[in-house]
Amino acid sequence: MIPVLAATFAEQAALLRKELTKARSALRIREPWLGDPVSVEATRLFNKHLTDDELSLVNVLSQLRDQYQANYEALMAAAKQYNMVEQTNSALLERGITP
Amino acid sequence: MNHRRITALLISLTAAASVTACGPSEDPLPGPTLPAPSTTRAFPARPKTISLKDVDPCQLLTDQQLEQLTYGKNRLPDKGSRLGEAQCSVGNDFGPMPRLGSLISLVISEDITTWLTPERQQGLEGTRQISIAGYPALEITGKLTKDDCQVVVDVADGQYLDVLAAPNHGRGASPEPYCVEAKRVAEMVMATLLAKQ
Repeated sequence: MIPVLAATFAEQAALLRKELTKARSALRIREPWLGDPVSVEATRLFNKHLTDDELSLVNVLSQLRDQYQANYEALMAAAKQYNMVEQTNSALLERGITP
Repeated sequence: MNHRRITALLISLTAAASVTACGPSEDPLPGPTLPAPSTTRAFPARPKTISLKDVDPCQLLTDQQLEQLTYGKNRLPDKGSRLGEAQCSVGNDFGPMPRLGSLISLVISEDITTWLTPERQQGLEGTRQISIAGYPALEITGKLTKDDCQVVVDVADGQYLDVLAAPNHGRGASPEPYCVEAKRVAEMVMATLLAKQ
């Protein structure tokens, strides 16, 4: 159980790393500024939800990624305690992650 | 009606003139090695053209380079939002702090000068001309997210390398450390690209 869980969190943390940088990159290209008052208000709300707000997409995904990293580290520490490091490493390798 | 006809005539004349003007410049010139200076492209000359077509962005950082960056070897490929774009995400997921990540994108459907247009500039905080491995490049900071930085490198007309660096644990306060990282990654990617030529 520990090896599979550790590998799952490692994999998910890496996936969120990718999605977060992709979101940051896309935010520069979208150009939602059209200038008229309706667009300006829409842009304000759009930006708030994506980046400014405490519960914005970037913030929530960042927190989730940090949590997955911490879960992986806790499970890796447990694996050491239960002599399951080797099984955990092979579970990681199965998903293309070098420990 | 008459006025419209004159306008149409003028447009077709201009089009015809520009077609004939384009003609001779497309002939391959055997002599000079320098790229023909374009009149519309206000950007410094590059040492030589590198095509990014059919290049795998996940092959552009060697295992040794990833180690130097304290990144893991878990390279995640993806498709970008622009036509024909290829992306690869790399980063430090479980190594020592500070943890950073980079997204390498190979853009083949847009010229680097697009970043200097007013439409694109509206979403940006700043654009600075820099040089990466002797190639003209731009360091770009965004308005929406302050804790990341992008470096784009001019490698060919209508093609550029794009490296975006961002925190991979927590959030950052300013773009500076990510600009340093993006430049570092871009230099390494260019070194690999140039070695493949």
